[in-house]
Amino acid sequence: MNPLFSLTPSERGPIVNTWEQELGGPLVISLEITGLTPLVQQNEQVAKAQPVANDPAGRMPTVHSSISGTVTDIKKDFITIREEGTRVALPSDFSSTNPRTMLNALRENGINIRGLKQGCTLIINGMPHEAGMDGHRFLIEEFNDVMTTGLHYLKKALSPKACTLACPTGMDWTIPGCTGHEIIPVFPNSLPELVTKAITGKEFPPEVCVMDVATLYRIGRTIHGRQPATLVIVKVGNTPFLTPVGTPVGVLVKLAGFRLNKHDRVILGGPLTGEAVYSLKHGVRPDTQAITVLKADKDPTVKDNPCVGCGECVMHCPARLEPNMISRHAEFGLYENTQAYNIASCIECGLCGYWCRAQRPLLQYIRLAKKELAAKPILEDLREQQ
Amino acid sequence: MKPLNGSPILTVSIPPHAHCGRTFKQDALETIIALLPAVFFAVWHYNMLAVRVLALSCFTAVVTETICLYFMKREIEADNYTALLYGLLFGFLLPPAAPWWLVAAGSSISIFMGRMIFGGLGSNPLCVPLVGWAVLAVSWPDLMDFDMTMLASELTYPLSQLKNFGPEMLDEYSLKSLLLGFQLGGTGAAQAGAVILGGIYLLARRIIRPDIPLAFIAGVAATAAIYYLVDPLEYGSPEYHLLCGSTIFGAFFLATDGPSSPAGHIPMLTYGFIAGALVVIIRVYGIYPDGVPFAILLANLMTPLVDKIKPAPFGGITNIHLRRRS
Repeated sequence: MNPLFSLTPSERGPIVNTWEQELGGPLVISLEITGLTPLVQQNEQVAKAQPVANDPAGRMPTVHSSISGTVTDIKKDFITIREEGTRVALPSDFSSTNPRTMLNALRENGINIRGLKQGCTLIINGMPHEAGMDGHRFLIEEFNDVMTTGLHYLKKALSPKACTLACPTGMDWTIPGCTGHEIIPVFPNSLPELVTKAITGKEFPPEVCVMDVATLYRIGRTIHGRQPATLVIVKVGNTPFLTPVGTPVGVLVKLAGFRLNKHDRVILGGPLTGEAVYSLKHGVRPDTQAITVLKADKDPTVKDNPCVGCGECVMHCPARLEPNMISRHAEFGLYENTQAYNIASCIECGLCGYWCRAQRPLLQYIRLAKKELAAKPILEDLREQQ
Repeated sequence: MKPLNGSPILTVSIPPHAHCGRTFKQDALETIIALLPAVFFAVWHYNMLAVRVLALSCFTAVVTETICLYFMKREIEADNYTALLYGLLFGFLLPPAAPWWLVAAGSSISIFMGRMIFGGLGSNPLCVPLVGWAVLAVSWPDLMDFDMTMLASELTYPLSQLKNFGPEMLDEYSLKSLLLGFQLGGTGAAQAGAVILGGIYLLARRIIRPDIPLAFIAGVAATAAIYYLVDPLEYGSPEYHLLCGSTIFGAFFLATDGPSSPAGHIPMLTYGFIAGALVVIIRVYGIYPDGVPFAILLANLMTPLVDKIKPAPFGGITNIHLRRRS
């Protein structure tokens, strides 16, 4: 099988602590705050776990400083903090028993709670998201008590009908209070939609919440330490790093032994669904699980070639769509037409673009069409207003 | 360019960042490689006649495409070998003794009417070489008739023997001689054994999927078997239908042409089977001894219809807003 699609977790190597490494100066972190409002000012001293940006609308999770230091720069999308001193913020309060307040407390401590619903079936996704993104193996095997704490809190907040842990076939991972479900470790089986399908047998069932195992760990760590979890496990190449949120990718890539040249690609996440960064100063996010480095000229690059109708995308699509037709319509701005090809069923696994012989940016076309369609007003809503 | 802040200039790309490494330029090149055994066999049988037809056809195809692209004010893309491939495929269908102007006219008609008029690479609704072939077959039937043009050859055209004199005439052809290409037919298309080798190469290299060729061969074999079972004295047996004329060539190289064939397993199987069945039906009832080109053209026309056979999409959500709210 193509090693790119194998989700079988590798043997556990030692975890490297970033702060124990020689960095050649104080650590400078850069926290991504796109869409959030900064709560600090330039040159302000911040403590570890102190909130630095939040969403006034109350939807997106708050961002916290993961080190104690001085704010050196505030830009629209990033806050840069230089490490200095050992201040720590005051612990938060998680004693509430009101489900809504409980979830809100999680959001204020940096956990993304969008999509979590009361009375749902909770699925804990323990599958490595992509090949090699198995840093959470360490968490689930070593910190089972933290996971249990997190699950206990979630159960109180959501009162789910059932809890299931999805793990790759052959892994004897368990979390107390969860039933287990083994999933064939082949990409794209790790995507939330397909995990849900494998467990419930239904496609897009309304009352199912899928939570990543790393998020569950962060919840448990937050409740346990009564402070936002500021450390993440990021796998760079074959090395898992335990590192503060916001550590620049350049630092991790260098520690992992990569030497970057011009036109290489550094990707937050895996090579199929990750996001390429434009600067080595880009900090890792709380939900980043891996950094992938792709050398220049390794693969054919995307071009605006015409579709040659080979059908590879159609036959590899796990959502049984026709990316060839969707991309042809999206290419010429006919976004409405893509609905006839069920674009909303796309789960964005990226396989169409991987197999495209014409090197077309298929997933990009699909995302463009989705974005354009989602920006349009909903006809039913307009009617309701009248 | 000066690096920003001492860091190297990174490439920003969109997911998926990895690619399977296959490009259509490489596919066209591999298909040409797969055609080479048949080219060698054609040269063995017809010497310079075959070289002349194939080379002229390839040359005209590339030149026609370049001229069209020039007038369309588009980038010249002769370096992706697709025009060369179509020129070679077209040459395979012509009689080796075809006059030079027929080859040149047919090849340029193929590229112009079959491909460029619809917008170039990837847009052809019909298999490109067959468009030129069909125009020639209808316009100059005498010159496209293998028996008429190849009077100097000792070989005979088994399919017209079958059509004119009945299936007992086929007994003079051993299967081995048919495989080695001791039969009249298209320059390269009649080299059945070499074309099979090329087809196996394509399958092994995964340039084409096995669906269409196997369904095509199954369609030919099944339909021919039905006729043969009904009346063995009136109709030829399936193995002759498979090895005579351009059946194998059509199955591996013409029916699998990407833009004109459907995508998806069931559509591909249906399309291949329809095309294969049409081959035998045209051979039995039509005026053309070799039904392959018209059968594939007819199947090409059915492609949009066959493409409608598709599985229900994941979850079956049609409205993007429903997905966003959930």
